[in-house]
Amino acid sequence: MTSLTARLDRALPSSSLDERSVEPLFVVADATQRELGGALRSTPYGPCRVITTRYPLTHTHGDRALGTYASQPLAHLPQLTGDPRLKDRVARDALFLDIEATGLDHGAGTFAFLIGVGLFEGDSFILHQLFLDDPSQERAMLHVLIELLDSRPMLITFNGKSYDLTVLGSRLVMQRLWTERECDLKLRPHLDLLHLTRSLERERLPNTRLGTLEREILDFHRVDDVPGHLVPACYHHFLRTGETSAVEGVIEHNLHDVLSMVTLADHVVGRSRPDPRIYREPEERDGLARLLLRRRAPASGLAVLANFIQETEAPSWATETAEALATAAVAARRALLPERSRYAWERLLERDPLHEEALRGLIRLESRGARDLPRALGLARRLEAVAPSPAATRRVQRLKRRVARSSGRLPKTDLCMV
Amino acid sequence: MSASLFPRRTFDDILEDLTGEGQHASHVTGHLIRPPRSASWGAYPPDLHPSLLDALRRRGIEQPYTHQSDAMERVRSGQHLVLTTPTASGKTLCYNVPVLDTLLREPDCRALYLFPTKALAQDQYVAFHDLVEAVGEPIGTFTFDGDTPPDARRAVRDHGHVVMTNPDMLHSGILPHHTRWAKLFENLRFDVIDELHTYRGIFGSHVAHVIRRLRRIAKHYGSEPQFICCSATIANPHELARQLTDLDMRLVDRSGAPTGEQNLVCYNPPVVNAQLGIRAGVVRSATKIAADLLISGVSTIVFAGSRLHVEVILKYIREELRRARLSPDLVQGYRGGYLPLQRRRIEAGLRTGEVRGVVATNALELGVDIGSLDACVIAGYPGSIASLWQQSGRAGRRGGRSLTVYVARSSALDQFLVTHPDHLLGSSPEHARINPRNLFVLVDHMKCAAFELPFEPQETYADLEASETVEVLEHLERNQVLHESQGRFHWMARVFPANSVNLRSFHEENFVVIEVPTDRVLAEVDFRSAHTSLHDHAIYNIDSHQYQVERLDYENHKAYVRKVEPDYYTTAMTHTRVAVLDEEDAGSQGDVVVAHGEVLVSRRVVGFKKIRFHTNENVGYGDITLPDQEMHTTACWISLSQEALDALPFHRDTCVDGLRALSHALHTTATVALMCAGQDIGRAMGDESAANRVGGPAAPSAAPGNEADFDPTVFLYDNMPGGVGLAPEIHDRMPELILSALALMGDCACAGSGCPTCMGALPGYSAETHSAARAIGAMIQGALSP
Repeated sequence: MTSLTARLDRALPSSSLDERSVEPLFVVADATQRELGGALRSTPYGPCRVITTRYPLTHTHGDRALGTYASQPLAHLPQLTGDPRLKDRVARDALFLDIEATGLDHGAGTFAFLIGVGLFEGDSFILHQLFLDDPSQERAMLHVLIELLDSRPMLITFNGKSYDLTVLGSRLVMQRLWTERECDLKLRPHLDLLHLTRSLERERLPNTRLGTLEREILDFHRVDDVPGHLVPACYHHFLRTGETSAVEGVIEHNLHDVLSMVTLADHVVGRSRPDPRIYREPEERDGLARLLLRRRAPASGLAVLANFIQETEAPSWATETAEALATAAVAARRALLPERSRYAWERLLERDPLHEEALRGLIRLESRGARDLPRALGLARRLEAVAPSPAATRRVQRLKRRVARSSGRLPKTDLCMV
Repeated sequence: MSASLFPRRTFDDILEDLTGEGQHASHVTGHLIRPPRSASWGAYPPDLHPSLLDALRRRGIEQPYTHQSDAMERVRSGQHLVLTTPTASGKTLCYNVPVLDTLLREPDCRALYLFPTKALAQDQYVAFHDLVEAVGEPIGTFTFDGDTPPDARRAVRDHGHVVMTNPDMLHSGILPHHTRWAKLFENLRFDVIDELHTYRGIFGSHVAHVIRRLRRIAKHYGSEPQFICCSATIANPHELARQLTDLDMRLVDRSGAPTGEQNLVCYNPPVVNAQLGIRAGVVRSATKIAADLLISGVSTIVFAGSRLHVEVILKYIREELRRARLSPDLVQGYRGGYLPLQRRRIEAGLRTGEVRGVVATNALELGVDIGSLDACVIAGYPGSIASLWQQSGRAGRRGGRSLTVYVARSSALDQFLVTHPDHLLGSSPEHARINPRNLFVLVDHMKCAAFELPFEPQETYADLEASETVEVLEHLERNQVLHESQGRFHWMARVFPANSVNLRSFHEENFVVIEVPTDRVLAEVDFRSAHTSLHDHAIYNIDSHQYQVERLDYENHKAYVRKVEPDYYTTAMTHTRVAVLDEEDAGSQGDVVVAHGEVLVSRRVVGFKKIRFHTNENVGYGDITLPDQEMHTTACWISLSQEALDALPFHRDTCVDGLRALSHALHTTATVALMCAGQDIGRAMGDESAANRVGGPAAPSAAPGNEADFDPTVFLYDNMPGGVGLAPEIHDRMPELILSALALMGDCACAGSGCPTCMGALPGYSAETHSAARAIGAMIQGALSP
């Protein structure tokens, strides 16, 4: 009879348990153990390390100063995000939040070991980074977090809706600091930059990860950054060995995340204002229009597009204008505004009588409810000629029968012979 | 119509055929009549909530049966309860009434219902929901499983008074996200576990841990739910419920429900070749009886032991129906690999009567509501007496006369049982064994538990002592899964542990069967069966259609099959090798060693045979090269030294054959004595020499009879990773098992020539083998008795 430990080692050798073995550990070779920066703040639940950095508003991060965001009006946000609680908020109400956690999913066992909180105070931007020297200090850390959260009425995150806030909410329940209902962080006024950015930039960029946005839009380029997926491993390494070098990189990574969020907020809040006078690349314009239509703000949405269409209505027929019209038509249909949709298709067809999408769109509109079946048939014939296909032929046949039936020429019983 | 020239045979005619002087009577070895029993009535608790009482009365339940009123009283007095009464005795009312009663008084309370399958949860949801509707109070009832859409999940979490789910979902979808379910856990009053008996073996061991984790989380939120368990008839419902929940339980097992007359008939297929002792196959015989019943208009369910048999029987019955000018669609197959929608359609057909017969695997054994059938044909012993009764309960659920025919296979166990019908009909059903101390299961769930909540200093987990708990936690810390800080152990890995722990099997993903060229997904096959049923060139059967495997993509768990119409099917041949890792206890030393301990079992699929339909001729062979399947488990073994064998008056090869023959008989008697399924105990011959111990898996394959200096060894191993506790029990009871094995070989009708019932039938066996086996048995017996 061997001991439990010996049996464990034999039946479950480390290879079967080491679930991180797939990833190379990202650690700076320097194995020093030095004091991390910041100070220990005392709370009723023990100490919590807070590293505070103060920036003047003129501090530039990438292509702009942090302070530019602070003067952005936010009046258009409630409509754009569909969140009425953002009404009457001003830029300085915001608290920027970004966490680094021990895992990438959000089960109860994943916890934040680093919380970056940024806010504007007077003529400074202040970044507090709450760091867990040890998992047992989590309660103290969350206590400090609650104090900070309560100091500002609005949150700004990047993908916080599905990650940061979920993880923090779950940990607040675990630590029994707030009851479930109260700690539903997602019920606070919140601007998730990811969603807004995605609507505006999706067509222009390969993806809307923060790193891509920094490079392509904010002109900020990180050096020796810790890749996000290695963050948990770095912290695990720090806990096991006490080597601070493993997490110093993560702390810097988090710092850049928060600063980039501030400049990104300046960018998207500015660009997303539905002001037709702002010049936009076609992709951005279409994205914004789609978003506005989805948010049931068809007037602003179509304004963004229509103004553009009028402005560029020049003898030189621009493909961009055609695309704008097509987008407007599709978006209007999705927003259940068939007349707006028809308007856009008709304009498109005037300019290009063989435009396939416009033909399809108008056939659909004319044949629905048998509005104008002969015209639908005519358009279908045109479409068949432009893009012959069995489906196109069937469409013509189907419309022929409907036209005939409505004019009473073909008895209904013959239909089955066709 | 009554004076028909060819009168249609009736249920009574067929019963008479089997039990009276009819054509089958000589093959019937036993007939048990369970007389009808009338109801005994109890009373509702006097202070039952009036609207609930009213709803029950309006639904025609004027009065509860005695076991129901007893259960209601006990639940109301706060006792944890386990109920075991026959199929269709109204068990659900025993928990639904007290739970509803409490919810009506205290609307903040919550209840969690666990069913082993999604289908059962959905069935019970409908029944419970009807009752709630009748009561007319807003009590939120939801099922929560993999099919619940993400939008609905929030509603379930926030508004579910009663949440019905399965252990798998509790394990991976609820417990690891407990913070979102805080409302449920804070107010959790009841936990209902239905079909308790299905939580046995390795699955049961897993579920025992899921329940321990549930209690641990509930405790964190300050609640201690009361458990109400329901079980089909097994020998140890009380013990099983205690082991599963780790709580003191009260047992209610006296049913007050009425039953109709039940007939259970044991049928041994006729001998077709007296010289070789070959009997007609179970498939043929079961088909004949089932087709007779179906053609006579008797609704019938056939249970077959394997998916393959389901398909073959289905094909044959449909052929019979066509001959009788009936629609072949009257009978349908029903088994695990069928897609859910297909199964729901069949269940509905059974309820409406469009489907008259079903050929099923034991997937239908559980309480899925398929309405009442008149007869049940069991093709081969289902592995346990409990299953036999449970399957037989499918016939005549709602009272009236019913018939169950058990058709014996030619296997040793079946032949033993059919020729000793008293054992089958008279003895109690078996024990459901679980082993919450199974190391693999335990460690897996401790990982999940640590993810859910850090382990506190001094905390004990499950059945471990505080010091053992720390040993496991420290092991996990050494392997960098946990991190210790101030005596607390925190989860410290990036992955989500519940995802890699499968309650129903071991880290093994199912294989998907894809039809070429349509790319249609036909079925899913579990990892173990995939080795024997989806190898290259295998014939895969589903819905009585045959497909040939064109390519098995082992890495990606896909098998590409093409529809074919062969006249044969395939069965795979496997070779098993056992290596000892750790000897725990040696019961006897010297020339004969009887010991048990941990072993590594490697199973290799070496080839396959092609068997022609109908004639069962062997029409070809093929090779298979697939990776070995390895299993770490526990075994009991008997090892004989060279000297001991030399002392016997037989040639060495004969001795090895004799030992193998003895092991066959031992396997049969162990299966019967431990009341477990035949496949629960694995059997292998090998070499238990020092080289094999140290070398482990790398040691050369021990081919008996080739090497002079090898100690022939018989292994009886627990056929589940980590074991469920069979091996130590076999070891402890070895003297008794040897005695009955000797008796089995002595009594057998084959008189020493070797047959499947006693020592097995291999080509080389002779009367001398028989003598050698008995001599070896006697030698072991001698060594064991002091």
